[in-house]
Amino acid sequence: MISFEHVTKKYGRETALNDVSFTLEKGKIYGFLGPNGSGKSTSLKMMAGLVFPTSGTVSVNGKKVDRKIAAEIAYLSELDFYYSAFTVQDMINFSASQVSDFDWKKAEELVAFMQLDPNKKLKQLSKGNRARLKLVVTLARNTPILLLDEPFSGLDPMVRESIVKGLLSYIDFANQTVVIATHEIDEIETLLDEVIAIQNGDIWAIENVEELRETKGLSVIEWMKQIF
Amino acid sequence: MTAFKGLYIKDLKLSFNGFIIGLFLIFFAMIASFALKEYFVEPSIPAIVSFIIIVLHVFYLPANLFTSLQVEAQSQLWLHNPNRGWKLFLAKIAAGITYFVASLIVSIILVKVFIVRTEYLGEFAGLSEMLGDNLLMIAGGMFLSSIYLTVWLLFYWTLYHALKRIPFLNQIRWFVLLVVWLSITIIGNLIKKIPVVKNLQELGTVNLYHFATIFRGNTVSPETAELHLGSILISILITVGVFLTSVWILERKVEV
Repeated sequence: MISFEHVTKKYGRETALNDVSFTLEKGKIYGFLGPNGSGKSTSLKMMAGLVFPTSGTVSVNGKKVDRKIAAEIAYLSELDFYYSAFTVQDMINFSASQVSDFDWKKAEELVAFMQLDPNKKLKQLSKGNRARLKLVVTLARNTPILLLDEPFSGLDPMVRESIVKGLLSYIDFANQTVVIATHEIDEIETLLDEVIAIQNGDIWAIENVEELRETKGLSVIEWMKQIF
Repeated sequence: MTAFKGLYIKDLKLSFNGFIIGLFLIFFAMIASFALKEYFVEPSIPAIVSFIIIVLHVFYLPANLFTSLQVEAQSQLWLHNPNRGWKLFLAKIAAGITYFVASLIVSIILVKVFIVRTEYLGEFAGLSEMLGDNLLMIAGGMFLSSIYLTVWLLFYWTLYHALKRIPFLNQIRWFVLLVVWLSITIIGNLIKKIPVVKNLQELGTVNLYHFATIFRGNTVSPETAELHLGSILISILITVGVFLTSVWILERKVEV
């Protein structure tokens, strides 16, 4: 369970999150939806222990989040950062060496599924293939929490499709809590259990996707158009 | 593969290009020294240059670490790692030491070839004798000084990146570092003047007679060849303290 209690994050006069409180339950897939600069990435980084609140508390399973939470959380960054000297296999070896929950079999399956050449240098990969590799090393971990920050940003439809297929095939739906921050909902709407609308650092609404469809007759995109 | 080994291999790969550039610079300096030797008709120039190369190795480890850290600073995503900050830093230092030793060995070979075997060194004749007998000691001194500088670099690097969190200091981070450096220097000098500290520093004097004798004919006085164990102990404590402070800042204050 991930819990935000009156969390505020300020960067000088800019407020990235404004007295935000919510709880994310185990075994659900959450969509953090909102425009650029709304506070989605900051929220995910806080869950990953990479950014610290100015005030308030972020906790995971009752423990206050710090850097060590990386042992329980797999985090996929929005950044297209990579070690240029690495090959695909180097990246997998390195990721596996850093955590105890790395599933080699899953990683090999994912590499084949994403059609990546293990011997290719990362600097020779296309942006789409680097995004695929990021997903490989993230999904290959057996962590209770999975955070995906803008996994589709700047990628072509083919790559987006392969990423969604990867998520559908390799997420442990019963045991993993998944949080996906994005402003591109088309691809993931079918995956989501709950959606959290965030703008200017405020949580505007939290809805169950099924209820949204059944009681209000709205798709997530239609719902977003109403509230933003 | 252990976490440390994984980090170490990663950091070796990150610094490999820097290592090759370093070797290239060493060879370039040597070739240039031969050109100067011919131009000025001064046979001692290659020997002096190779000695300077050895001395400059004191900056090798900090420079190596800085370039490696700057790669990580592009995203700071290396901090998404369950391993503690000391492990992240030590892996970088270990990778740096590997290249430092390799580069130093190349330089020592050059010194052996160009200084010890150069028959005419003119006014630098003392160098030949000194380096011939004390090369390992000098290399050891370089190494320890390099480690000391490296740890201070870690401190200022982490502080610089931690200051990013404080918006009103973000634009003047270099100035803040300068103020911190000045403050530490002033406070350090004041502490050194305290009699107890002074006595501590002078504890356990070891006279490096052989070393001193060699220098005697030149400009360095015999006193500089004294080694104080108290001073070394204080340096070790400072090194450990600064390292742990850097780790603390990295884990608690640096954000992605």
